[in-house]
Amino acid sequence: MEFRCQRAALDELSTLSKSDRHSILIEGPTGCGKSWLAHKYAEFVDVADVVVVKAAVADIKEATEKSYQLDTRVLMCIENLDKGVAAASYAILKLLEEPRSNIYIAVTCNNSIRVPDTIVSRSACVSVAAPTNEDLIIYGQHRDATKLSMYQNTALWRCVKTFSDVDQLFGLSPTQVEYFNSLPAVLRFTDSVSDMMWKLGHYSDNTVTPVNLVLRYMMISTDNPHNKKAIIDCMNTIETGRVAAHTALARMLFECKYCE
Amino acid sequence: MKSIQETGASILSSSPEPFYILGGPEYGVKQRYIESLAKHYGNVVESPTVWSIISLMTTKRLVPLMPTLYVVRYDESFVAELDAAKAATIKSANIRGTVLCIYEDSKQLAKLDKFLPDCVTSVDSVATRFVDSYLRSEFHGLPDSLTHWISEHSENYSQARNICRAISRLSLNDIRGVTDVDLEETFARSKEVTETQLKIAIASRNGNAMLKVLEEYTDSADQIMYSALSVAVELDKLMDNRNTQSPLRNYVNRWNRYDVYHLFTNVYKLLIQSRSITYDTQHVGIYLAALIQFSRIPSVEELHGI
Repeated sequence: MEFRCQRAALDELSTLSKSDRHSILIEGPTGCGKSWLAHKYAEFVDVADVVVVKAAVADIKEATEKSYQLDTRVLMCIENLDKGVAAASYAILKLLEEPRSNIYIAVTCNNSIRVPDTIVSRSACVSVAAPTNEDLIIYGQHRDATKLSMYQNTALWRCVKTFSDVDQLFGLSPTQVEYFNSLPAVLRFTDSVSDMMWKLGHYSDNTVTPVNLVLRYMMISTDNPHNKKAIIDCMNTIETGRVAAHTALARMLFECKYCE
Repeated sequence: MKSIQETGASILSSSPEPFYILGGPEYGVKQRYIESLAKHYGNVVESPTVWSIISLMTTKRLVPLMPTLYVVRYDESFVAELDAAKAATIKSANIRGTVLCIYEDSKQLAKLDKFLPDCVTSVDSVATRFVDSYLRSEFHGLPDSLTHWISEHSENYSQARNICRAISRLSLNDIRGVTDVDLEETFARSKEVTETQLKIAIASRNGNAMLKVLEEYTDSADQIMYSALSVAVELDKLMDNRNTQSPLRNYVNRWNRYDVYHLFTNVYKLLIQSRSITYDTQHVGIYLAALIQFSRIPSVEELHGI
């Protein structure tokens, strides 16, 4: 399976593997396959063990200690470093400053500007683009051709922008799909903000919704430019992680309810 | 394990036991027992380890030792090394006086209780009524109403004792003149303000009340802002349905939808700005207290000239 969005990144990683770079930084939007590319790099440098680690100090320290004890080679993939706390970055810095010959480090992030310069300067940086529509169709075909044909011409497919969106969409139960059909009722913004926050955040069985998918569905379901702007602002704020997602959602709902 | 009452009765009697182990957070009770035993024996020796004292007791001598209070504090090696044989040695040692072992944590007591159950007492937080009775028995010169107030308002027995000691230094006339208001102003601990109280202060639109609450509020500026946002969300819900159960119900009439919206948007803007490293979050409380007092809360554009 080859995706246009990853072609250039794969070529770069293949070149880097020839010089046996022990630390790489993979930058790209959420859900474009950065962790998958880290796994591919492990294949290029012939490393069988790949450990995926969250960008949290305790997780990084634990993974580091375990890696130090190994005789075999291992690739540590630290995901979304720019979403973690500053201390997580400093935990990796030690590893980069005192590299071990058996340890490879792959850091993924949405935006390398939010990664400390000291990490960027010690890593080979590779950028990945967002998947194209063709990429998403190829991925969907590979994952589940039946579900792809079921969703491809629906409004839900227009909300899918990343590979993980495809995974989420194909994982929806019939009740959860029905939830999206009922969203336009919420878009009348007649309920209280707290009730709407609950409805946007939960399916009828009280399980959590994929908020990004819900917001994109709202975007394509409304013609009101004021509401579209509020939804875009909400998505951008959630993406940056500057405030809690539910707070950004409340802001959007206040805007749509009070200022139509 | 012995209860505090049993141990207290034994220590305060004229024939205390030779070996006590007191563990737990309530230092005031331990201190009282130390003072009582010190008064009984007249001699106090502080020792770093239990075994140095037991070794002293088991050494043969021509002139017997004077009965003495031996105080050992936080001897961890004693806990680590204690076993059935050593416990038997302690029980059979002819201790001249009393050995009092003090531990801060109750966790050592489990092992100590296994081998020396007749010697161990857990000194946890003392109930208010016992604090009161201990204070009355110790500080006879203080009126009952005073010891009662002190036992009700102190965090623990140790603090209550210290307050009683301080007041005991006054003359009798001055002690009789001490009122509840004097005690409140001098000794009352600041009450922790809850988030609900903060939210009520915001919803009340009373800046003075809000500033008073913020003086005692110990949480972060972030939490203050999230509380204010939460108030706006709750007021919005109350405006849609006045029967909603909420501590803010009494204050919804002080708001209109315009003000609720602008409260939310202004605080939200403040929250976003606070993510900048250079932003000074110390003035969040003052900003909020000022904002809620506007008869018509201005929009973000009006306030920030955007």
